[in-house]
Amino acid sequence: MTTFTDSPEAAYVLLRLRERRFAVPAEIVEELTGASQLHKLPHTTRLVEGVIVRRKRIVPVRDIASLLLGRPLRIHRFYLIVRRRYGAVEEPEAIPVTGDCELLSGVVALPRGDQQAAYIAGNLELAGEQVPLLDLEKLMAAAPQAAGPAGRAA
Amino acid sequence: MSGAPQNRGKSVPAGAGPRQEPVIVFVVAGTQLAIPAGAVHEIRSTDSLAGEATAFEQADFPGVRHTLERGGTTQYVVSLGEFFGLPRSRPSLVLVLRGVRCALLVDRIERMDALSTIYALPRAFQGDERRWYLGLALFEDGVVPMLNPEGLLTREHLERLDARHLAGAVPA
Repeated sequence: MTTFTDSPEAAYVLLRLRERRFAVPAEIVEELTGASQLHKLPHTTRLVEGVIVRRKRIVPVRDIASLLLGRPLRIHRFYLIVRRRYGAVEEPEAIPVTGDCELLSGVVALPRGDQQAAYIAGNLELAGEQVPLLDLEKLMAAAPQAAGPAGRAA
Repeated sequence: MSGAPQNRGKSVPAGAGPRQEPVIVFVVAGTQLAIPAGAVHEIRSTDSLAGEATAFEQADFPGVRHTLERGGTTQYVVSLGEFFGLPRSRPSLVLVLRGVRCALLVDRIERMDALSTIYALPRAFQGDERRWYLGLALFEDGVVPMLNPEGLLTREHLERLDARHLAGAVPA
């Protein structure tokens, strides 16, 4: 079996968007939190729904389900707070998820398939299911950044 | 770091609390927005401006509705609801801004408040909102964008609007 990661000890967080499961590296995950009040503000950035307040920080919420499943996640129970990189700076970002998340360790990631999108970093094989391992930076880069010159309410 | 508070005041003497800056919180189509009180020259009712404002609508400048002539300069009256693509509302007030050639149509004033910190707009926001807002204010009842008075109409916007305004003013 070809390993994708250098470390056999790599850990991943398994998240659910509707009926689909995806994984992200555990090292970028800060916490899983229950649904918080979403504050909306006028803006033009696609997929950003608004912000939540978490531990006295203002955290933007990005619905990655629109990219991965083709439609936004209307109902969710939790936010997965991850760290995003902007050059030398890291900032938290909240991803709405449908249900609880699971921490996996000691799982070996398989390489990305030829037909899979660039934001799929690899795959985890779990009980016969291939769970895509997301590269969130590439996923966000794949999203159109702005809705246009005019303002749009989130 | 995003979400980290930024002290907007100058150096604070030891023992003194952070400098509080007065802000005006107002509402447009149910959305709360704020602006530094010092950026507002005057607040007028839309009715009181009826005789001073001249209709000036440009299809490619959503929200620009009227002009005001003040002190030999033209100010552009922006309906914030239209500018931001918010649901239709009924503005009743005009915030005439200080030092910029822009006045804002808003529905109502919610309150005056005082802030010592605003939070940087998270970098996840990548669009025009980075120009529109100075940052985000955190109040007990929610997160409110703090408008950048100079960020709604850029110099380039004003030059284009001025050119059209002048062209419209000169008889053919």
